[in-house]
Amino acid sequence: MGFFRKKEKKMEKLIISKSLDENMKRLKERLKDCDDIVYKEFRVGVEQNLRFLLVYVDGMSSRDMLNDAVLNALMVHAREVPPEAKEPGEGLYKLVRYGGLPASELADKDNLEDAILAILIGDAVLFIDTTEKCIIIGAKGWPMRGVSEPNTEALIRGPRDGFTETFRVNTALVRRRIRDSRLKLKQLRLGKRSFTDIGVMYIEDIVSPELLEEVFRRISTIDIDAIIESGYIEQLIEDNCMSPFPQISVTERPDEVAASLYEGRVAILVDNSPFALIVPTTLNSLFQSPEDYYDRWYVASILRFIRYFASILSLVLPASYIAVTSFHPGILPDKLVISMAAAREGIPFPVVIETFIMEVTFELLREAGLRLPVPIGSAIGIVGGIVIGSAAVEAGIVSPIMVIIVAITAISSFSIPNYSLSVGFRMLRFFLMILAGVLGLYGIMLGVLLILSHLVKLKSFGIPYMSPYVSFEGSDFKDTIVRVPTFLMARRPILLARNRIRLRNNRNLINRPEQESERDDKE
Amino acid sequence: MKAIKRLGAAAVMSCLLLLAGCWDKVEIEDRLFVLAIGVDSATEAEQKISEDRYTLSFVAPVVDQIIEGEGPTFHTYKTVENNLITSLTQLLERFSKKQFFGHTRAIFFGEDIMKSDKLLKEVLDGVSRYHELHNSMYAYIVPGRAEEVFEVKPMYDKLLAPYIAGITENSNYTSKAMRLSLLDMTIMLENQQGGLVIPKLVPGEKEVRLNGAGVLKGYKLIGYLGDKETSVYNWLMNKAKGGAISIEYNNTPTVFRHFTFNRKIRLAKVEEGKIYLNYEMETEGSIEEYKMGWKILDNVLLEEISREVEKRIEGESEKLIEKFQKQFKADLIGVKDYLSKYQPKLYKTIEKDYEKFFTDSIVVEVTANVKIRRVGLIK
Repeated sequence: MGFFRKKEKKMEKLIISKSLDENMKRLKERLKDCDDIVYKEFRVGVEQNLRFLLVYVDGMSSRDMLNDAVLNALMVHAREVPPEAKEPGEGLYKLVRYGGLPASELADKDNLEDAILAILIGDAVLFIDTTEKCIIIGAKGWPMRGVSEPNTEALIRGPRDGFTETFRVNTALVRRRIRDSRLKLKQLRLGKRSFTDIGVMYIEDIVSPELLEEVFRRISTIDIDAIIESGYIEQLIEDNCMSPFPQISVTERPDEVAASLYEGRVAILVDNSPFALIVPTTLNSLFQSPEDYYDRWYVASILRFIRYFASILSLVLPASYIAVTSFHPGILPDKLVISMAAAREGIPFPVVIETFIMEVTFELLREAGLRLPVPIGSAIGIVGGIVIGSAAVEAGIVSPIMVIIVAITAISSFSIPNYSLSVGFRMLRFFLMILAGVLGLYGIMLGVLLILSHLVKLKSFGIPYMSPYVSFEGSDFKDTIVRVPTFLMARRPILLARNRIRLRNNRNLINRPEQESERDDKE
Repeated sequence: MKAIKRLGAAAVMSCLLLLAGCWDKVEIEDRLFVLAIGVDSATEAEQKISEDRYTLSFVAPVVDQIIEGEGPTFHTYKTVENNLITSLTQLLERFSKKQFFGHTRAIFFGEDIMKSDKLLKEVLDGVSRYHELHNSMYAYIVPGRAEEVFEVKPMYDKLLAPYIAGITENSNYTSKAMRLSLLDMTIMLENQQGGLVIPKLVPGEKEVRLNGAGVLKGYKLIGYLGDKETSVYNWLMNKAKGGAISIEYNNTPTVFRHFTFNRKIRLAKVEEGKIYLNYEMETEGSIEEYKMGWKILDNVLLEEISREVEKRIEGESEKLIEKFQKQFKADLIGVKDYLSKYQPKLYKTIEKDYEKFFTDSIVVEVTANVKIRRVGLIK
């Protein structure tokens, strides 16, 4: 069960003894100073000679459930129907285990270690006097956030449900979209202290076995005390930790996870995190939004094009401004160059410094606004608007054109659907700005070449990051800048999936033959 | 050891990248955007030393006055030197801004430069080969001195150079305006051993007029073409596009506006040591203006009008060809170009002493084909 059981063996192994008191003693010893553990001892039977002990963590197990399924059943109902086993022993245990507890989730354990782990996970454990086994009762019931709309990935059209912090809810949200016995969920516990639930989801006959093996291999290398969030796993198993580009995509949307599974990807769900990881990831898939597939194809294609365009703008616009104004004003039209020179007249800083001041100011504002509660955040917006918008220009510190450049850059970087990708572009933007300040357009070209060569080399779980642009698989281009009509998306991605046909094009059956429709009219 | 070698290789390779090309980082507000250049020969009063030959004027906008402001929108920076390059360095010695020629739209040559083949050859070599100057600026001849152009305060435009360039770009719509880039100018001078037809710009008080053209032979100005002759010259050189030809028909002035104008040269015959060429001109256009009450859609009438226009085109063209043959004795109408490119064997036989052959033994016949496509609105 536990992933690091073997290494964990330094502590003295605890076994369940026959004596309830002994068991209680051992538990209390191990769980010393854990004041949130409830030990409920009770007696059952006409003579009150059968001793039971129920142990659970206060707040993590559902009290209602325990009252109904354990205490009420054993203490009250058992009296109405006299149990056959009046003596403590194996018979009593079987009676309780198979007949006495109206709970849906029960398991036997003969090891106190496992029992303790079950308690800490939120289940309740029932000990019966004179029995060397205990019953684990699935009674997890901590207060949880309801399923709500994902904040970071809002859509106009599409389902409104998003993952929550509870692992089981999340797996259910995905399962609801794939009612296929071939959808597999392999559960692991990671973290030597946190024992966090990790679920690896895939569809058996679509996913490629090599990818699956690679995922499990990489997860098995993790040796850490605690997994607080899925970001821990992302950073521990990604291919290149120095790259500014995210190689694992992160989503809060169960529909996106389901769609990725159907494509032959693997999803990793982590307890306590509403963010699921999807591997492998390509640059192209980071520009996709689930909405692209819900909207009609040309709408999606135009939006895709805008996103690609925006990403290029957010990457090179400030750098190009620097290069053009300080190195190559010859490429601007006459009137523009004159008005730009007029706007720059009297600005004390060189363009590079001016651009850095404004870009850094903008980043500060964004960072400040991000962490603040909404009412204060709007105040930041006002301050930023005034500081960037007019005061800086009126004070003659920056030129009005610079404000436009910063604004367009900001808007562009917000139109990239993936947050971690847009952060990557943000970093590279500053890198290109420095290069442009030193070498002009030539510097930008060098920088872009560097980025491109890095991207071409980059892989995510064995899949080239730039595919399908580098793999040249004709059929995979159907879902790139242009998203072809749905009826043409007949095959799954060639590099990912095994079972490639996903739909048959029956568009020709949509329009009925003409005689038939006329006959219909007459009727 | 291996790592050091690798690092060294990387350093050498990055040198290749970083040391390629040349960069001049100059902030946009520190540049002097020279929009036009004027070239004159230095007058004695201007000469500081007797070697000074040229007066160069550089026109640059006063950028903060263009968007708003009462002051002048452009300044003229003048230098007197004996060559182009030292004139440019002189600008750097006298003014804080660094001149930038990326947006230079026009170069004006004063008449006195054009009259001296020595001065023109020297300055043209500098202008056409200096790497910072680009070759697509328009070239003009100015009767009198080129710097006079810079005293014009355009009525409706804030800047002078875009104003003049704009007039030149109207040559798409009127064949009387001629367009000549510095590159075409140097190519033509090279090909014709100093022969050139260059648009003439006449400065006025508040406007300039693109009026006629100067004719150069052997790098020397030998005469001017008039307004209409420039138009005819454009026809002959296949440079015309849009334009208007006015004729008189039945004592009523009528205008034929052409939208396309194509000229083809055909070798008609070679007889008795003479070469007969045929200039075929084809134009399409509309009759825009005639007389109230006439049925302009009448086929016969249109036929007659187009005959009239054709006669006009043929007559004027032949007159101008004669002027080039007899008066200027210079082949600037594309005969040599045609013969050397399309009839190289024939051209070989007359290559020596071509100029004499051109004036005496080339017979050019012009045939025009006018198609009236539209007649304007009718009842």
